[in-house]
Amino acid sequence: MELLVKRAIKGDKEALLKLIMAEKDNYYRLALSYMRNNDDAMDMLQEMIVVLYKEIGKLKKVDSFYSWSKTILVNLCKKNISKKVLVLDESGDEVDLVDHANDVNNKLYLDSLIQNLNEQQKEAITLRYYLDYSYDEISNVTGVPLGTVKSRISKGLNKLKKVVGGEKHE
Amino acid sequence: MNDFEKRLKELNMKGIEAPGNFEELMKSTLDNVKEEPKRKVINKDRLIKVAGVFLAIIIILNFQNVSAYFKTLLGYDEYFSFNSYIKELNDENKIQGINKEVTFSDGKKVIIEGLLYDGKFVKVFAKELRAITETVEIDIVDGKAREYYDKRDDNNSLYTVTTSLAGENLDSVIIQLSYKDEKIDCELIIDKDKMINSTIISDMNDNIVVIDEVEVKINSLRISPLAIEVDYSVTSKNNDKVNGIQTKSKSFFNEGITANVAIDSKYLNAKDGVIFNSIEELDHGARFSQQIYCNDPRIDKVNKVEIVVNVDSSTYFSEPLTDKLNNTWINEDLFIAEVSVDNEDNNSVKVGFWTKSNKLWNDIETKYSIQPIDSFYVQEKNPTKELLGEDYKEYFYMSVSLMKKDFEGNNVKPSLVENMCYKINIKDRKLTFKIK
Repeated sequence: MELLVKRAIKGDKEALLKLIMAEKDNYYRLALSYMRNNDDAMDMLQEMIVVLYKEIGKLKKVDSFYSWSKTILVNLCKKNISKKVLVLDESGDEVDLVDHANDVNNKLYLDSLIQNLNEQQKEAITLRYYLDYSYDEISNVTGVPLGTVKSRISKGLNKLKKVVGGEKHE
Repeated sequence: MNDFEKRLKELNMKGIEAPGNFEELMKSTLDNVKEEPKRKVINKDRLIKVAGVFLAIIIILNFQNVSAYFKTLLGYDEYFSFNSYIKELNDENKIQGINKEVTFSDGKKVIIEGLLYDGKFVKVFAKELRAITETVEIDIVDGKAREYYDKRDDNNSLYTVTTSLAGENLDSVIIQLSYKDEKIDCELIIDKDKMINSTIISDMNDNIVVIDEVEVKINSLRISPLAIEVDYSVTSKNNDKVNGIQTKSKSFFNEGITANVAIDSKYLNAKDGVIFNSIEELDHGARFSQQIYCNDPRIDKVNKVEIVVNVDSSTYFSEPLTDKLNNTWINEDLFIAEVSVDNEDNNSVKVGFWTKSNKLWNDIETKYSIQPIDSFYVQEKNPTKELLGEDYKEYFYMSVSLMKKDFEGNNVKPSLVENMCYKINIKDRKLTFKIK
């Protein structure tokens, strides 16, 4: 991997493509978790590979290629999402979840609850539970301190549990 | 794991795979990106980024006409893709031939074909055969400020040119070739008869430019086909300016210096980074020795050097960058389109702003710039006539860290810095040195 990154830094497109292909499913899932549909996710991935090619000369640590590239992908997705109209309540925080309490066993319902959390909590919980990222990985790709990641997940889960029931998350 | 966590785990996307056309889409996107030669400068000593007091030195080299020669040592144009003047040296048979073959344990072969030495810097030319997947790294042992570029031919041979500050008056230079986990050292004997001349200009008059209370004095210049070295001092009688050049502990963290090189007002492929061989404290400032790798000036043809000095003052835009500044005209030269601060963590900010800009030969001088630059990527947008006029450009910085630390551990917040040179005519900040 190290040599592929070095070659990519030198401008070798094939090496960059190999690096991306080695993690293609993970990149795709990450983009999909933000964009929520295939077309937008693929658009973001195409934007990402252009940015990577142009900016890889700035990569300081060869072994951090994947966290660096995923951070760029996350930033591109977030920038694109911010252009769209988000369905949130005025505070951008909690919405009335109680009306749907009868659907607690429905996966789609749980997903919709998560999508209605505030942006920071939604992001942390999505990365943690949809993509199986560790707290450290979430901290790396979002640039948010580890303690804040834990706190966001904890607060988000507690909000969800208020609606669907369950023990308080510590 | 309680029921709720189990339900969350069911949302896992592990089973989702990238679509079948993923590779095709990525490849076609990448193929459409304009290919540019990648050059990388690695400064093993120190790479200092722009902040505070900032100088840009532009050197113009005027050439006499010389007749052409047609002898060739290195037979592959790939070596000279970015080095037109080194190609001329090759045509004149001035490159020292080496032709040393190095073979790794699995059969991988590299041929060291030639070198150039100017009494201080060395440039090594090497050809790697069948460079299909993993390639060989070449480094000059004990060299400083390594720079390299390479180019591949249709047969997958890779032509690498590595330059480094190797040391003065060497009889030989040791290079190290690394491939997979194997390292091979190789001594190359320097043929003194083939040593390339350099020119040193140290007896200087009219070598001072003063801008915004900062005095820039050129002490000496060393010019060779391999590198340009500029020795200069930056001082001020104003203590605030001195503090912009030095830190209290005299560790010189916030002086950023770059240089662009042009011949007959046309830019060469200059360096990608800023390299300092040494930095020395002075009573009211600092003295720097800077190396610039450029597109190989032929010093035997140079008769005049011009240096244009730029100083980005430490005069910062007075208001902090907050999201209250969205869509705000600060003055007639600066429009802040977007400032987005991560309020929860207060550790990053996105900044988009429009500022007036001038074209300085092949470069862009902007009235304002963001410093320190510490972002994932920067996007420059084309001017929009209808919006602000063609002389404005928009710059968008993503995720500039608010928590960047200087060498003393203090937080350095992003600021918009005014370029004090912007409205000063180039001729008023230009120094000219004739080579006798």
